[in-house]
Amino acid sequence: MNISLHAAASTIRSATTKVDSISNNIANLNTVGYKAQRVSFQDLLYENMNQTERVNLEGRITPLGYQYGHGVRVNGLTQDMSLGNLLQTNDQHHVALSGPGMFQLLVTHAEADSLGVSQEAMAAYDHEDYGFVFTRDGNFRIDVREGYSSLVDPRGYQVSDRYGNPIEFTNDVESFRIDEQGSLYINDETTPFTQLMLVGFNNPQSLHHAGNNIYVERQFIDGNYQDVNNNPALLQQTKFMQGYVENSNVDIVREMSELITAQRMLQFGARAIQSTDTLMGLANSIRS
Amino acid sequence: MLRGIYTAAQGLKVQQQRHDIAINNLSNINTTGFKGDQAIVRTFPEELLYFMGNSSVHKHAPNNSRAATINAGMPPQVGYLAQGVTIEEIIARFAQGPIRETGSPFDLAIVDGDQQQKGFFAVKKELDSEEVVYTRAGNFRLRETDGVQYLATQDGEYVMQRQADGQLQPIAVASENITVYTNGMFEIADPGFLPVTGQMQLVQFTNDQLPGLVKEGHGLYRVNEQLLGAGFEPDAADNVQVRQHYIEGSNVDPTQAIIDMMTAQRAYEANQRIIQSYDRSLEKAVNEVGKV
Repeated sequence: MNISLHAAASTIRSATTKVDSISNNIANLNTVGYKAQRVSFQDLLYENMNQTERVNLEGRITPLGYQYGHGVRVNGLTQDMSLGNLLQTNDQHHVALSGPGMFQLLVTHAEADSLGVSQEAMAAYDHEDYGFVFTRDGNFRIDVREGYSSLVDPRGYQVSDRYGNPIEFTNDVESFRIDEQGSLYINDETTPFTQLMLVGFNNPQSLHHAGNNIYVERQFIDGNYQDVNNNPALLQQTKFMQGYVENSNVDIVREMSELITAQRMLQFGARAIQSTDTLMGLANSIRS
Repeated sequence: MLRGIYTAAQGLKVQQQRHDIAINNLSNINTTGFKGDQAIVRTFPEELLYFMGNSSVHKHAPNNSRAATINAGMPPQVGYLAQGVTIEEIIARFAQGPIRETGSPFDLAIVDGDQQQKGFFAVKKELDSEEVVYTRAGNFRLRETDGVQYLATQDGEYVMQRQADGQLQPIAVASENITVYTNGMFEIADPGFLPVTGQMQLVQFTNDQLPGLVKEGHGLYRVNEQLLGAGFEPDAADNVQVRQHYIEGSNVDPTQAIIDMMTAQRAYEANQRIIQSYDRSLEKAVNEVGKV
């Protein structure tokens, strides 16, 4: 009886997690640089029931003993790292990446700590002023500060150049141009002023989604982080596209169909609880 | 006394277990690579009942009755009576589950080419362990161990590759650029380096061997030594296809699971009624027989 009830409860619990993740995806249908989350399920441990030789009768196909399942659980939330649609905005501040990889943003050490960047990662990059976080959101803007301007992302984090330093220029810069390699040219100059950083991760799933479109390394894996300095091949598969932003990769049709399956799963769980309740009621009313 | 009350109690227990199994199937309706279970219910071995007394004195059986004339010289038989019901075994149905596209490079689904055998991925729980377990849940990820990223299940069991000498090795993946071909060959391209190739360890179990797979939970199966023998090694699969960017869904049919649940519930109810009716008979015997 309790197995039924707990299995049914686990169904509802898991289905609810899935509905939560779907609603989060749908809410971010138009969030620039958003990557959809996927929930996967797995069966819970099986209990081995022993049997006596007495039931080892002819016609039996399994060995003695049987396994008894206990329901389901959510075993993973993965990011769907596929590309979103590129939207043309013709805004010079907007940059999109046409392939895998991420922009690198600079945060102060204190800020990095509060975002949960692992100490190992900070030590590995060993930058005296900044810690690194990452994003696909190229919705940049110019932040005018005292005496200089800086290229920042929507949250105000400074965008990193290829050497891990902020991109800062004088306040009289009116326009700039970014080519496919990420080189940034000020006004009409023909020599690049700086080059934007492109980083790639061998295993993007190891990044933690910290909210606000920011990915952080909560767990440092040696060799996972690659950038244009140690792996120039990154620039062959990914181009910087100025005047575009990458839209969310959430597919509404897919989310709705997933929502239907999740909702049905929830209903099945509720039915199972009802049915178990009936069973318990029957047992309870044997002697009424 | 009243044997049937115990039989009905057994019935309650068995229907309860069938209910549990149906709900476990229902719970795993969206579980990657899940295979539904089915309970096989069987009566206890029947027993032959005799009248009391010995061959010479057939006090309880009328002399002209059939019971008294069969096996003359033996106590007369009443007949066969089953002693109740039990779950004999729980069998997983290994039918192919639906294949669904996900787009993730680490999602692999096995498609069986032959109805007589089923393919599985071979995984190990520890890198240095000898024990191999099997799974159909191909929603893999990368797991970092000692600075190397290995292909692993969501729970972290390492997926195995077979080397030329037959040794099993984990698959070190240096980039997301992995291509898995339908025969289980894989190629990992790392920008700036030569691609790494290998053959995934895919095994097959024939329909005779499948009952020897024990469910461990978390999508894993292990070989039962009782049926398949210690050190049993399944054959390398030759008739399965691996589909990259797809996962295999659960093979549970929701309609069937709901119907199993309903039948178990009704059969439970019927057994409960039988106990109630025995209860009333006993009540009459205790309280009303002999009442003046």
